[in-house]
Amino acid sequence: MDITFIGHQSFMVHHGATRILVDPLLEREFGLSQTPRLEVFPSRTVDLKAMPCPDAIVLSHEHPDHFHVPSLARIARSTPILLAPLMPSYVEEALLILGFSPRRLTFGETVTMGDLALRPSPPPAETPLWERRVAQLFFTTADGCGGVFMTIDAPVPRDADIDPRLVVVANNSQFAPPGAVHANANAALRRDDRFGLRHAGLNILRTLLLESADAFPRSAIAISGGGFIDAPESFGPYLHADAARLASYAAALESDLPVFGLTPGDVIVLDETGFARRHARWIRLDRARIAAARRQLRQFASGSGRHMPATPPLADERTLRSARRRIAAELPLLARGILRSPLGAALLAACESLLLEIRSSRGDERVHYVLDLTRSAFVRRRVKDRFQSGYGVSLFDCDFDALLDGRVLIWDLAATAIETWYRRGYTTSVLPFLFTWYCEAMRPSLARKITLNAVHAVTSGGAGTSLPARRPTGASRRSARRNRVL
Amino acid sequence: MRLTFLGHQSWFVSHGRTNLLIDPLFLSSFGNSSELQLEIWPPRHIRLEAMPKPDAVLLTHEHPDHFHPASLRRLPRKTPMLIGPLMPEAVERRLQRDRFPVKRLELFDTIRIGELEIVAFQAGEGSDPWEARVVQPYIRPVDEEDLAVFMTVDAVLSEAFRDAVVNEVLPAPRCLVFSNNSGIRTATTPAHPSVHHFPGAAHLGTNLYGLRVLAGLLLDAATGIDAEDVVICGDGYIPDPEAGVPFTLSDHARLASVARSLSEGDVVIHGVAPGDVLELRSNHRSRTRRASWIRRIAGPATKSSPCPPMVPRPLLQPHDDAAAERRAIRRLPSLLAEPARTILLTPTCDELFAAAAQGNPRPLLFSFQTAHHGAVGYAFDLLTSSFEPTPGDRIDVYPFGLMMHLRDFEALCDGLVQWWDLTAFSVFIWYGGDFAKSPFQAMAVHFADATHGLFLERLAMA
Repeated sequence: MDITFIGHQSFMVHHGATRILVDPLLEREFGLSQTPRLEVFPSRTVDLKAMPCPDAIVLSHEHPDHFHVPSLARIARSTPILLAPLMPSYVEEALLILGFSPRRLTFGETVTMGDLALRPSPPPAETPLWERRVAQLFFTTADGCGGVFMTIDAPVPRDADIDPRLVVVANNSQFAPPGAVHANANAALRRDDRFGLRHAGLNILRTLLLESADAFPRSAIAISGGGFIDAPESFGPYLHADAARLASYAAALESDLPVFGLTPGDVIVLDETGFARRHARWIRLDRARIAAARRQLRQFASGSGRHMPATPPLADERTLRSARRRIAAELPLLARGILRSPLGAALLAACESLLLEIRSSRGDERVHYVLDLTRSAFVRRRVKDRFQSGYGVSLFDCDFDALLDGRVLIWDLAATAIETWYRRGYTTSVLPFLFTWYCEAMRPSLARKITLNAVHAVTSGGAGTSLPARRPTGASRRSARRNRVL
Repeated sequence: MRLTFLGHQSWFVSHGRTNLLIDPLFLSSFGNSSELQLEIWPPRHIRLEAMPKPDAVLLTHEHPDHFHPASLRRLPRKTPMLIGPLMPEAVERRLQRDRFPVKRLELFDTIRIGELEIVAFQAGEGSDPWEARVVQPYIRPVDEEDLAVFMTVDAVLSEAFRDAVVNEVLPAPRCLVFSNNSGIRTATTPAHPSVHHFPGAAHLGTNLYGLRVLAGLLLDAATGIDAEDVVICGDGYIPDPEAGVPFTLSDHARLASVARSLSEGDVVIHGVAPGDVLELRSNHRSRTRRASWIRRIAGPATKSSPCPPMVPRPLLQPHDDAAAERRAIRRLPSLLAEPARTILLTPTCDELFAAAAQGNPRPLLFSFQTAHHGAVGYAFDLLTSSFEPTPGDRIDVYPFGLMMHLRDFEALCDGLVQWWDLTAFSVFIWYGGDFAKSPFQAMAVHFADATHGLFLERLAMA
């Protein structure tokens, strides 16, 4: 059994004559919205002609870095697609339109495909809402040997009754360098408080390795994830996202079992005696681009990041008026949503207000709303020092409008388009609330709109040709519907 | 200093010539919607004309058993009303309409009323989310610092207060007043093994409720604070007028006598009844007397049927007109859109995701009873994150559910009644596992007066 790392969290699992693609990202960029696109890092190209033909595709959940419509459009429509059991309905709908025949997996039930077997399991209960639909994947050979467990974007489960030889963890820390504008950074302090500033790398390594080592003490670990550059930011790749380097530290810190830091093209081979490492020829690293991006990170000057919109500015008075209407309709719901959430509990416990700053995309104007805790509503205020409110969020009118209109996802704004600040711990801070409130699970109709637009873009010949192309026949569409589990 | 108990959680605190009312309930019953009045238990008559004139009223939070405008209207206008920093603004407006001067307390600030000082603390962080706005008062005589009293009201004891006492920023209170909010009614026999009837106290386990409540109050809540006098009040009304039975643990004198037998040393545990006056004296044990202006009266004869019904009883008259009912049914998708989001925001979704992981992506049923259209059902679907129409009578196949009359739900959404009006006997909720993750939790958070807003807004305009 071997697994090939295609980049970020995209894999091909192979044994004997069977190959399964997991969350394929086959282009240099990904993203469901028209703007912005995210660049897979370390940068690479996937040679689709040389890529072995997959026997099946598994989609672990609906996020744009795992469910990439243009990548799927490059795969033969006859390829079976297995969906996580809790995949939202609109994903199934999109795949049917693309001409695939998606089938839902069942948690805890092993599916055998040729020489490989797959058992999906639900993520642990502490997983935040936006990752709750993740299926964690356990691959074995059909005769029950080997065993690769992929935690995907959720925490390592503590009580899983499996004994994998290799656990693939994902580095989702997205740690911006100090002084950068990034939604994860506490704007009031200009630093990333998600893991603490000082020992961020150590915190990331601990989270990545010790959770797995404690749950699966006999398993080797492979580090994936964190594998993209948010196009608009100016610092290149995230800090401590270099998986190979993280793995080398693990080795220096007395790891008994192998820790692999995955680079695109790496093939980890699990054989009878142990592990071997090879390189897949159909994945080519763009070394010049990688070096340039790393140089950019080294040379990033603290404080040189700029808060800027992710979407085009509001073009004229008419779009400005419609954006204002959409935002005005959202504010009462947003106020009540905050108060019903853990963020609201933190605000009430500390008697802290929350500031919403809406920046004009056409000038320097900033409109301020304060969440009035006694009115449970946003109230417009003149504010001199925005950090006077212990908690706050700042974003551009064009981005807020695009988010509410289903033109971008909250993930598209998390790079440099949103600033947040907070006083106490990260888990009850503003950004996790925004992720919860605007994620696909909370706003399926917005995610559906974006997804179906992306499907329309590829089916109308906008992006590439499918390979090898085979239009779905009426019969296969009918069987596709019959195969739907729900 | 003297603490006179008016019933439920209503107090009259006096020292020297200064009198302070806390969450006054003067009438034989309370309730802020016209649909429901709950009788105070044990019943008493308050002769207001004999009550000493209060210098101020402290309102700890917005719930109907604490903020009762009909009681407040019996007070002289100009009586200052003290409210906490998070009291909904609609309450403030209502008080101003009734011509009371309103003063908002700031946290940790000391405010002086005659010979008394009050410091306001915020509800502890482990409190139920709908009690987050509670203010916990620390009250002491200006001249006798050792006679302070601290009231936790409906919330968990404030961490800031515990820190202040432990670090000797404030003198430890002489007296702690706790509310027993266990809300336990006589045990029910579930018709379905997975069914828990709220408030059947499933959240307190299945046995030894009294021990759990006492341990919760005296061991857990009081940790770090050694008060000489501990007072237990609360649960002081009859939850279902038709059944006419008080809460199982509402006899606080009996609870306190058990607690006293289990305690050593100086601590005195008081279970109060309306009219009791607890007198705190420096360097002396406390004394209990009776207030001359509060007369205990015989309660109504307890009716039979202590077992809460397994089917909710309508609070409002169901729609008599089939067309009006059809209109209400057509409103349901829009009325359920925001509650769907609240379910995903609260711990309730944890249990639903767990059920979905077991292969049931629609584990929660909302079943609305109607007069002309049978039971109208909506099931929460985790694959679409919304309520989807479904038959409303198949409650046996859903591990989680809520049943109520359509007219009541519509009135709740429109702010004609409060969630707390319905929990008495008009909502039936079933769940498995943790009560804190039950549908009750999401709905109580969703319809919390301050957040939902419409009921208090009507009250402010009334």
